[in-house]
Amino acid sequence: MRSTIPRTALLAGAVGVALLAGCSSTPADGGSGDGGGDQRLTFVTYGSAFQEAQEKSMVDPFIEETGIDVTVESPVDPAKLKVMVEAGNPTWDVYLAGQQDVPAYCGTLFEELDLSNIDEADFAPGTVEKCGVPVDTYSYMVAYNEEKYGDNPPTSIADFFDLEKFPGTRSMGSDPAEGNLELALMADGVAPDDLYPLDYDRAFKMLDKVKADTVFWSSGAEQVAIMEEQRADMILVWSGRGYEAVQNGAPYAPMWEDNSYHWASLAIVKGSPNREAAQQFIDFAVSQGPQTVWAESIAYGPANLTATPKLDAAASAWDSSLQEHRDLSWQIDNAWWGENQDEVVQRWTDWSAG
Amino acid sequence: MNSARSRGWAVLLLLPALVVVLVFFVYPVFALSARSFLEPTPGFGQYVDLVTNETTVTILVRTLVVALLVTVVTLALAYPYAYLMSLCGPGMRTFLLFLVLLPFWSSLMARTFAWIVLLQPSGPVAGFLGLLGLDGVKLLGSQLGVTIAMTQVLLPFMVLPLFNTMSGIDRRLLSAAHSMGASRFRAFRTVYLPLSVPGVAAGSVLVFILSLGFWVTPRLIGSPQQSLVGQLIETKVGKLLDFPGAGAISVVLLVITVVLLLAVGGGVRALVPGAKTDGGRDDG
Repeated sequence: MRSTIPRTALLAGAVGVALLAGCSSTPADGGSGDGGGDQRLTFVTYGSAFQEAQEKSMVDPFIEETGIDVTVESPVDPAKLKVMVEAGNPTWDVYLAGQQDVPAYCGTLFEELDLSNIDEADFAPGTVEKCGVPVDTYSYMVAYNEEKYGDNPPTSIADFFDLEKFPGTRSMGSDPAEGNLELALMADGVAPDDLYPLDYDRAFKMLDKVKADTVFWSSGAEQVAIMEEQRADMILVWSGRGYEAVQNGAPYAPMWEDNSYHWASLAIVKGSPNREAAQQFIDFAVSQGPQTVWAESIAYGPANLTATPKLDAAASAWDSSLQEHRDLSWQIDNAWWGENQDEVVQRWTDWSAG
Repeated sequence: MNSARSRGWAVLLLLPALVVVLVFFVYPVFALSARSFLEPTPGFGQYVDLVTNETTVTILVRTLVVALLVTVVTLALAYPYAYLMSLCGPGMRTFLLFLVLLPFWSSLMARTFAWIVLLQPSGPVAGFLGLLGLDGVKLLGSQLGVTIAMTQVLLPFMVLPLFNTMSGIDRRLLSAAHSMGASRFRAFRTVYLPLSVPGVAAGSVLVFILSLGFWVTPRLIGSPQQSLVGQLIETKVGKLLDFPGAGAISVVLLVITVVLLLAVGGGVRALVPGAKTDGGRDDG
């Protein structure tokens, strides 16, 4: 029957549209320089407000000062990076790397940096590395529902795992790189200095206590949604997202005790044809001026501790770079993670998805 | 010869699509598959790791179960719907078709986020279940929520092939059955149902295979506890940069898909002599 053909075409068309919709991505561009210089580089970062704040504080002033044309792309994608480096002709030059990525891929996906223009004393100890310089910070920390625990708020990470003293629901990130295993061990009494090598079984035993009552998030937007809908009474969040949710009216308060100090670093892609310009950009982006503007533009802290952002009280309450908050923080051992990342991710996947 | 020449033209018409498929599909799939056999050492090491890893096996089985569940539920919902479409007048049919195609006009992401809103604890679905006395059913971050959302997303892929087949069924056959004394139910069961099998097979295979590869919906609506194989591949590629391992899982999925297609094709031919699995074309 001929009449079936249009329907078949319709079906094919519909399937095509669905596939396109499923695969669409939005390459973002920015940093519209004047193109005066013949030097250029591509900076790949996270998207959205994060990227806008970086463009405002780091990229645009850099273009203005040096004339080097910077193209900003998003999002970062380690798999794409690996393929690019393997193919030998990377189109990315500067990469915003998660803190554990830096030691894990130093020398393989990232070039060693020239640290002669960086004063390590300006940054938190251990954050400046051979292949990466920190450019922003945040804390992975407990936020609790004030309506639920306002009279008797939690005061340590042990309370997060104590469903008898603090009955209710929980939420945490689905990526172990945030520090879930470490926090579980600390709740069980392990001191931050004795965390490594991680005792997996002991950590998972602790995590098992809350697993059934835990919602796992996989993005910043999800954290905000969970708090706004009050789907968890205590949630391990990024400080900036906690601030955002509270600004939107979510009834949560920060608990700074045992907060995990995190950062992201700028790295140069292995084999980048624009190494010199890339190095120049990194030196600029982590310097005091751009770092100050950065911290005032978004609820993330400056990595450069000499930065002097002026924040209001509400923003300061969630500022991970504030000294009194840093005094309560601990740091993930990057070097250990770099060597053991595969095993941790595997063990975490076995526990969470098995 | 006329037909030979037109066949030559037909091949030429296929060429652009063929080139696109070869470059953007066959080559990458082949490259990824090849790595699963070559790295880190040539052989079947990746596959041994795969079947001896409890988590991988659990997730594979879970994916197959969810895909089967979604297929059964969409079939149960789509069959009467498509049947109604094949019965009603052109105006109503256009309206019903419009309803089926509506989801295609919004992106998968938008629909998935809409489901997050609908499924949240204070949302309308939970409210409805509350009215039925089912309080506190966890919808977000549960297998139930993932299955509901996947069913909605995949429903059109079941309705359209079913409708395609049903609209090709000659309803005079049913009248003939009635005139020979068959009850309505018997006429449906012995005449209509077998004739609609090709559509059931086409829709089921389409939905099942698409379910196997689902990633966005389980990731956004489910918890890690409901991970499907797509998320496992993502972890391997995106976090572990383990391309050979991801390739091995992809090959397993591909093999399951091909075996299934062959089995269903063979099964339909055995059940309905002269039937084709691709829809309601008459053979005459």
